[in-house]
Amino acid sequence: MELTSHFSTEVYRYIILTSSVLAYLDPGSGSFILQLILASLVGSLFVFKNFWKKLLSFVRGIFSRDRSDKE
Amino acid sequence: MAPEIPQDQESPLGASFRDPSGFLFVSAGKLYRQVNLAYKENYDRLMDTGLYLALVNKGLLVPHVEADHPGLRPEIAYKILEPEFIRFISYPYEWGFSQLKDAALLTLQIQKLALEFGMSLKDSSAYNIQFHRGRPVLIDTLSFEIYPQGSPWVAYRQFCQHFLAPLTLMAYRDVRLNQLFKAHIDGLPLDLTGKILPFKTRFKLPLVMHIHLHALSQRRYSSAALDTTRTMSKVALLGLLDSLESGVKSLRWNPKGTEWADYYSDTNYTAEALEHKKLLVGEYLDRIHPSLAWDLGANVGVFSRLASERGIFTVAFDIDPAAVERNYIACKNRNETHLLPLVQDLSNPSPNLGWRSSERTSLIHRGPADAIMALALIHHLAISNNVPLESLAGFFRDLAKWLIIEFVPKSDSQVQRLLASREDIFSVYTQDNFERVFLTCFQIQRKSAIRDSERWLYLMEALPLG
Repeated sequence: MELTSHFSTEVYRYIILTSSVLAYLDPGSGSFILQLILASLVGSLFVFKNFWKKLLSFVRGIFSRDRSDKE
Repeated sequence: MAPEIPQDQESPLGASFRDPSGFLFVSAGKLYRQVNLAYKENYDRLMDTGLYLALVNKGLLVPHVEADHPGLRPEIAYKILEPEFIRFISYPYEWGFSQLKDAALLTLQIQKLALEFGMSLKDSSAYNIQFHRGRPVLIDTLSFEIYPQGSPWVAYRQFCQHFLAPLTLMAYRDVRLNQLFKAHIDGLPLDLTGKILPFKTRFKLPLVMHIHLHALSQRRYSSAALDTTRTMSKVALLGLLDSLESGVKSLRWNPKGTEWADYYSDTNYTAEALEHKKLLVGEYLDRIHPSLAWDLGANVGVFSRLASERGIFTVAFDIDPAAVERNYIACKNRNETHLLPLVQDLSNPSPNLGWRSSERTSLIHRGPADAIMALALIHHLAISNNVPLESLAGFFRDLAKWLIIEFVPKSDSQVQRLLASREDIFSVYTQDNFERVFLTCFQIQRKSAIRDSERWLYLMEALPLG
């Protein structure tokens, strides 16, 4: 439950967006635009990767608890 | 000799002109960084949020103290910093594969940490990373800005050009391709990188996104106006950094099969000769106590370590990227702090580069060192590269006060190998002539035959110029 809620929060935060700035180095229009295009993909992959890591550690936690209970 | 810091200058150092946040200058033999008033808010945030301390405690950023100095341009100065001294400034075209990879991962680690403190790197130049006490560190304290919520990473283009592109070329095509840095001072153009890379790199997600699509996007939107209302969330930004990190971590290069990296298993030295040579080099070093040594033609650093293990900061130059790679890996594994392996072709040493030829300093102008070690080197320069002995003597005299040099006679099997496929036009390459010529620039302080070999080792002291 906590994991699902974390996932939803991350997706929600990912949608909340604000403003931009100018840099002393030219960030390059193409580089800037590419990041905006890739944002959904890399953001989703990142959220999924973290979710997966937490899921794995959660499952590992259950099994290690079971083992220590038996001992 | 006090070699590393340039002379006092009335203007900022050559590489220090782009960023309005501040600049480097030298005063009374010390290096300072002026923080301009324009950077006040960012500097205060860096120091007050604990980001500076976190970076320094983790060894990611060079530490500094705030100095009591009016600054070079006091009217725009906010603070004057005195950063910890870096013994030798090196450049990405002089690094081995793992050095560039470690510098790339360090930059991403710093950016992730900065975001935790509400700041972001506003540039990600490979030239902002230096090797200090055996590890890469960020030297530009003014690289941070308050993270503008919702902004894409302004240094993304620079990161891809300075790190991902050269590393990918080195891993997938040829490790020598980081030499393209010399032609492209702001990193490797992504369209050029894409053309050189093999087709299979289009099937690796980080590489297709950050190099191939990136090049396409640069071409397509080169003159597009930026729509500053479109933004990118912090999670997406972290995803971008994670993707870049995965891309960099996936790149590997295994140093093997080059002529020099296997040198010590393919040499004409007997064990006794090698040990005696080490003993003599050690004795010479103990006699002169240099604080900075350059080992030219250092290979994997066997003799460089005779100096560095005596507490002498030693730069180990070699032409072979495989030898430098092995040397650097060994440095990392042993936590060595006084040894810096670098790639350097002495027949074409690193030149002055960049705007007004003063952004990146030539090898020669980064000297002099206190001592030069030129072991098993002279025959390569004199015979393979046809350099006259007079020119060699002058070259070494320009680089250091002390010279530890090995003379390898023509009868030596290594020299015979060099002569096997060419005409012997080197009638002047004799030990007598070597001594006669070098005596015009040096005094010979010690001279010893290396046991069980035909080679001789010399300790020479440069004569005063003029």
